[in-house]
Amino acid sequence: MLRAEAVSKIYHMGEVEIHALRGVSLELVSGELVVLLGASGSGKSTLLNIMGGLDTPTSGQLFYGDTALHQASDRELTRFRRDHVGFVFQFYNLIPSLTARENVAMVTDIARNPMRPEEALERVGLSGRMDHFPAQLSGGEQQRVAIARAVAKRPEILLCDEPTGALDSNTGGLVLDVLQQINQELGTTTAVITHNAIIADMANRVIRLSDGKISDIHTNTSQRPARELQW
Amino acid sequence: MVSAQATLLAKLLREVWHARAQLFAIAIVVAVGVMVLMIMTTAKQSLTNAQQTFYNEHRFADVFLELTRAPRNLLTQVQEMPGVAVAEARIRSAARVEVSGFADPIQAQLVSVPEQQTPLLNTLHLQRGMLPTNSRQVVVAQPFAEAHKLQLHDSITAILNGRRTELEIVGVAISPEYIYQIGPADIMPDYQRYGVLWLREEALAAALDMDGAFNSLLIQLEAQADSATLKLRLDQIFERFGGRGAYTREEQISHRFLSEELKQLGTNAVFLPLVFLGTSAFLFNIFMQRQIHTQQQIIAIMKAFGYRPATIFLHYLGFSSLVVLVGLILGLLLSHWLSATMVELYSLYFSFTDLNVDTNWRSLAIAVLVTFAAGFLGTWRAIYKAIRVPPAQAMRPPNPPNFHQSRINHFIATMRLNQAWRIILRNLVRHPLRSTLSITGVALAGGLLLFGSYQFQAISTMLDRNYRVEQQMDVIVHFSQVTDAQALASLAALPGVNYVEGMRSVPVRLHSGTTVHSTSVSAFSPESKLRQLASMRSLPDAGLVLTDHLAQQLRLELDQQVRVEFIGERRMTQAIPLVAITNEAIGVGAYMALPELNRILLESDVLSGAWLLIDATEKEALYARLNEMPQIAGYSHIREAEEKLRSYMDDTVLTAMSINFVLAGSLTFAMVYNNARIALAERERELATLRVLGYSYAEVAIILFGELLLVVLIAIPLGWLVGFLFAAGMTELMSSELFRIPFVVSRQLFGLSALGVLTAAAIAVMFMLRRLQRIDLVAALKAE
Repeated sequence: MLRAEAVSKIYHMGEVEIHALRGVSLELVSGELVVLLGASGSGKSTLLNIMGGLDTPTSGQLFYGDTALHQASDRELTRFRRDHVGFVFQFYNLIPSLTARENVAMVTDIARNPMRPEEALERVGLSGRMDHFPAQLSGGEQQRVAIARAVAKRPEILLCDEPTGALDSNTGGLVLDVLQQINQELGTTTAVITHNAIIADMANRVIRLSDGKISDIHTNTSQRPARELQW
Repeated sequence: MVSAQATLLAKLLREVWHARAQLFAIAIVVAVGVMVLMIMTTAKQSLTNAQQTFYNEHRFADVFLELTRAPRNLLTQVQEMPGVAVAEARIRSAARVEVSGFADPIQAQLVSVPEQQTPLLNTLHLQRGMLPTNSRQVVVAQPFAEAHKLQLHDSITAILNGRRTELEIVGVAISPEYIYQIGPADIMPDYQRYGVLWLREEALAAALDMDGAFNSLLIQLEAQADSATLKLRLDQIFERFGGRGAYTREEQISHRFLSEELKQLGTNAVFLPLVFLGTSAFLFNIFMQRQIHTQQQIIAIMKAFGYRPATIFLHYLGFSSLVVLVGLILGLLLSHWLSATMVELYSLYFSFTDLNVDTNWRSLAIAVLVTFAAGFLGTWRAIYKAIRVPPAQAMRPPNPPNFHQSRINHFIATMRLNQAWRIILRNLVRHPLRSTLSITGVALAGGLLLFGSYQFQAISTMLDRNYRVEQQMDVIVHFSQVTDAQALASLAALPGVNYVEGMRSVPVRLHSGTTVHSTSVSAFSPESKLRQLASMRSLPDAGLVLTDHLAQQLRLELDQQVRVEFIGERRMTQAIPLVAITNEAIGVGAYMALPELNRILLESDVLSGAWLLIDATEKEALYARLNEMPQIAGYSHIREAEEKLRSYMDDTVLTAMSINFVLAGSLTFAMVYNNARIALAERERELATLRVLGYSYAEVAIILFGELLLVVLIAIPLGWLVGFLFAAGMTELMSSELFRIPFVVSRQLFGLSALGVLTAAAIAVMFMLRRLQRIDLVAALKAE
């Protein structure tokens, strides 16, 4: 469904060139849960950003179905994100001036076939805290609101960048459990970025990145339920 | 420690450079405040100094009295009155003057200078030449000489009592009595059509039949003299000599205009700088709050390294100090340059011996103090909390801004709004003080715009009423003596005259209780086509009509009897009922139907002047004939006076309006731009998140600028209110016997004020749009 072919990305930081990705080819299969594993600086975030239409590759090609995203304009990328992609970030990035329900509505307002904000929040187990502002929620709760916000539009792809990076092990497990449930119940293709190897156990496929290249792809024969993961 | 200071300085300078656009906007507001303060106080100081010097060096009189004719030996009696230091008698008269090459009528004030000596009071400051030594010589006022490019030994003709006299100009002078030179019926100085001439007393005495007599008295008071008692005694003594009532400097026309101007400058010197410097303090505060918020961790690290709070505070104070310094220098440079221009402008309207640009150092000290205090306060408020936070706590990532379930937030939640407007509203109510001050600042700018434009519109309305409705004649003619109505026929026969109406003006004193007011009764036909009284259909056949300002001063109500003392050729006192009140804008006067006035004065059908409608193309031929007629004391072409006034207004309006727009515009720009910068800095991540979620630039821009739009939209009607109140206040303040500015605020003014604010806001938003497009989505999301 999302296909990257020989994607490279070079950043120019002043006079220094940084090769963040060096010819990565990868395909996300519909409905699968992929974990992208790598140390910091391995290029995993860059890859996720490019796949989510937040950034464009320096060279190589990227297709969503038949649509070529590597040639897309800013307007087309905005459209792609709006219609097809859900994002979850390490620091939640909720709008502080909106309640949980309103944060979700922020997305359902502009989506084509969204679920109701209340339904999305029920899915992440927050039906009791819909009218709370971010400042009134714990980190885990904020991240679950962020997940509700990402899935409420029923995206084809859910991209999660270190979703448990700022959370403790118990809360992190809870958040991953929500992601796993959504993947299974809604069939949303999900990619989770992490540097935490334990999380790899919940994936269908584990892709390891190092130094801007894919170093290993491994398919799990069985997935561990997220709530059993401990770190 | 030295290197630590250097490091902090480097940090400061780099950060100032980084925020240069925003800080420069604040510096501009400081500069405008300082500039306005310095210009106003410098102008005031310069004018006051020049006035004092002129008054002292040329012995400007304290008490004045005009009368019909009194014998010279009365002067001794006046000199011996208690409180009188110096008394001087002289002869003064209105006259017509002709300057070759200038066809229009010229009115002049002729003033005598004593023989053998210079005057004791109101002495002349000769700029060229000398005092007259014989009765054919004349000294002319400097503005008049300049307007006609008159040189020494040029000749001019004075027509006095119907007699033409050729005079040789031997001197050009100015006098403390005529610092502001304005014709008796004029609203603005017109140096071509009104002038002051000084002749030897013998010349005037001969022409006016004043041998051994005088008609004008000047008195210098001893220190601590009681001018009220003196005035009363003078009035008693001179009543039978046609005394028009003694008056002090406060009622002297030139002094009064000058005092009004100084008063106005004083008000402006407080009000405008207060608005700008107050705004700059507020802008400092929000800038520093933001700066310190983003640097919380840096402050924590500095504290962890052992920097003292005072050092840290001084470091951050550096921001505002630098900006204040830049604003101060900029403001001083601008004011240095503009003060000279301003003082020069004043010298066009006020003739002084010695008008120098005197910088008011005290106000400079105030400017320095106030601006630094504004910076200090803004910084102190912002940094106080940050310094008190323990370093360990400050180094943790900040919590989300504390929005919580309050009544207002709940109310916003129940409103049928999309999320974007919820964000906008909640942010606005989250910082009530900041929002209120932003709205106030923009409202003040809008008010300034409305008020500035109002002044011109009001004056223009006043001119419209005066010249288009009330006075529809082209030329006013004054006869040397009261004449019977047949004179109209000879006027009607003159070339270019299309229509003639007669009128009569008689000097009177109006009594009401103990209040007395000297003015004149203007009488004309109730069927007049050329003269209308404001707010009245026609002049009543009987009874007296007064201007509202005069009726108020005399505390007279409709239908009350007014004691009218006629002090012209025929002296008598008569009680006449007040039958109507007119709200004429210019001057104060009393009006009566002409037949009724003549009946009261026991006279037949007589006139003192006439109003003409003329064919402008035959104007020169008409003037030539009028100049030859001895029975005509003077005439003026009021259509031309109007045109001149309007063209002057048009020039001034454009300049003043542009300055006004720049001032108010810079205020709005600084306000909106700073708010937008702060909003962008505070919410960069939020906006980036929205972009990632699929919101377009336009949609995100609405969220960022919607708050500003709301501020501006709330501020615009408030600005109208502020401007409206200023305008009403000024109308009240400026209302005087000379004129009352009508209070008319048109729809265009509201539109102009809104347009100015919106334009400045739009420019600020355009600057910000570029920044919004440059947001790096990935970087913004990664940031903690």
